[in-house]
Amino acid sequence: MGNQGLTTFALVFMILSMGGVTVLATYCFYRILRGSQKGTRAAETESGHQLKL
Amino acid sequence: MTADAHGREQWATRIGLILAMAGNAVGLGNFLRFPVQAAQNGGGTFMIPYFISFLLLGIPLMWIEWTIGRYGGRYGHGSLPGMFDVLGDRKRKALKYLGALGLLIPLVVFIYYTYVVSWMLGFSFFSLIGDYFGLADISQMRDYLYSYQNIFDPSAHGGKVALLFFVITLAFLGWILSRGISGGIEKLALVGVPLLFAFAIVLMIRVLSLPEEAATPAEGLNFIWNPTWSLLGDPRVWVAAAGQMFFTLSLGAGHVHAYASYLHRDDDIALTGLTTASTNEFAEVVLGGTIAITAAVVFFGVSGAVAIAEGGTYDLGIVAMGVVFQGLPGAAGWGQLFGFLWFFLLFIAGITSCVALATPTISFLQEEFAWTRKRAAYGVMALAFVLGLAHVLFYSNGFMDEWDYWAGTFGLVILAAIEIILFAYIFGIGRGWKEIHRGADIRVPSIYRPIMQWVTPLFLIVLLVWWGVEQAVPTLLMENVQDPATIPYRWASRLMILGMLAVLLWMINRAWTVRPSAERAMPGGEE
Repeated sequence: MGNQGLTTFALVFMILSMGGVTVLATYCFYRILRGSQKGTRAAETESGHQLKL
Repeated sequence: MTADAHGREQWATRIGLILAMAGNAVGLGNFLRFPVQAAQNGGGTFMIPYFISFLLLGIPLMWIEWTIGRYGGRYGHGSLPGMFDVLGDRKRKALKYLGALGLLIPLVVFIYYTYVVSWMLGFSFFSLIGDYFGLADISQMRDYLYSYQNIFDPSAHGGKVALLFFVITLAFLGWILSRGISGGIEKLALVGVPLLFAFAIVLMIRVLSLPEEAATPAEGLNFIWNPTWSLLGDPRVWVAAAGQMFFTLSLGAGHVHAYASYLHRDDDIALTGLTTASTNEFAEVVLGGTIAITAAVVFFGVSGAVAIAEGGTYDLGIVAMGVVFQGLPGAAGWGQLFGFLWFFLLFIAGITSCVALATPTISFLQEEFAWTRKRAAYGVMALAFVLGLAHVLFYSNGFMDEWDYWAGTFGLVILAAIEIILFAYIFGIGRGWKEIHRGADIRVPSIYRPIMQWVTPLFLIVLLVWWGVEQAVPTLLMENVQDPATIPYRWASRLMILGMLAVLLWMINRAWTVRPSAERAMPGGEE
């Protein structure tokens, strides 16, 4: 504490933490968008139901 | 509006569902509680137990709650009494009474949380008109807040302003909730959640570009993220991380189930659930971890920020930030604007959680007592107003602390432990695993099957025992109450919770007497 900036460890933890959740969120939305564009889910479910994007 | 075979509404769009669930999860805790917890529990090293809790507690419980909710909705239930009844194939009569906790906890939290959220609306307004500008030190700003919180202290607010904003917030919530799932809650999420993220990003950029005052923004980030390795072996840090996971993902309350009950039985929950959880984590770790504490360190230095954080989340979020906005470089108008953005961001974060918290009770009244949506929505708001008056009148006497601890903290862990045991051992992990994958867009990693069956329940039991010994017993005996004069109010607060539980148990009994399990849709036929 009391130094003028980020220590190396603090920087590493911050980048890993923030980067980790950002990558996970981006991946999830990418999968949803990709699945929506394919439009094949409805045929794969028993009822033929698909919630539109 | 689309409806299922039971005439229940359904979500109109997937993005609306994701934003509504994310809006439910993203609340005041993301922006106020998380950075304080991280800074107090080892900084960067806190993220190790935090992410382990996310993987072993947060994600499996989230999937389980979505699964129980969607499964219960298939048989016409949007609240836990009915959902627990179908988990036991309607053969175990006691289970529906355990589900009373899934009505009590969200209702109790809804009432006091809505009151707190109404403060944010009030302070948004005060920021816009510059009402607190001129109170440039912490003690003056604290007096201003305390006057707002204490209706009997007219020094700054004339005593009744808090009541006015509480009524406005309840009226707005009643209007949104009366419009239904797709017409009210989903539309609120589609507008509110993107706005929330936009405000948070603007504030984050402003905080990170602040010039040096008592410290630099980099020192603020260092304060949150600098690891304290010795704390990694402290069990209290692990319990704090697990506790934060409950708050941030809104687990163990009953409203995630309620939202999921409005899904079609073939709608994906595996990927959609993970998406909402990761969206919440982004809001918490990236945005929540950057704004309030960093700004407090820049303006008050590390020692000043520590003192403020120890005063609690409201001292940080309202008192300290109120002073920060007054000290921003440039004309006062910019400070007022950023103050408005901050408090309105918190208001949106809170209001999108409030609509979720009210949903189990509204669903219960609709489904078991044939109330119309409108009647149920405004009825719950009227109840919240009457019971919430106790918080408006007696906040300074610790009335809210009791509700926050017993329902909003300890109750969550108890209900989570009950639901995971029902899911893994009464419903059966085999059926549960199959149900999670019904209509799934991703395959849940198979390691999560033993995690759900063994690891998460064990994690919860350890957490329950630890909290029970360390906190619940001393809290029950009021060993840590600093002002003995508040003890009668605290007992009254507890009795009120017990009274609400008794009424809910009676209502469940009444509902199942009028329409016994044998006359309800029986699980199993269409699996």
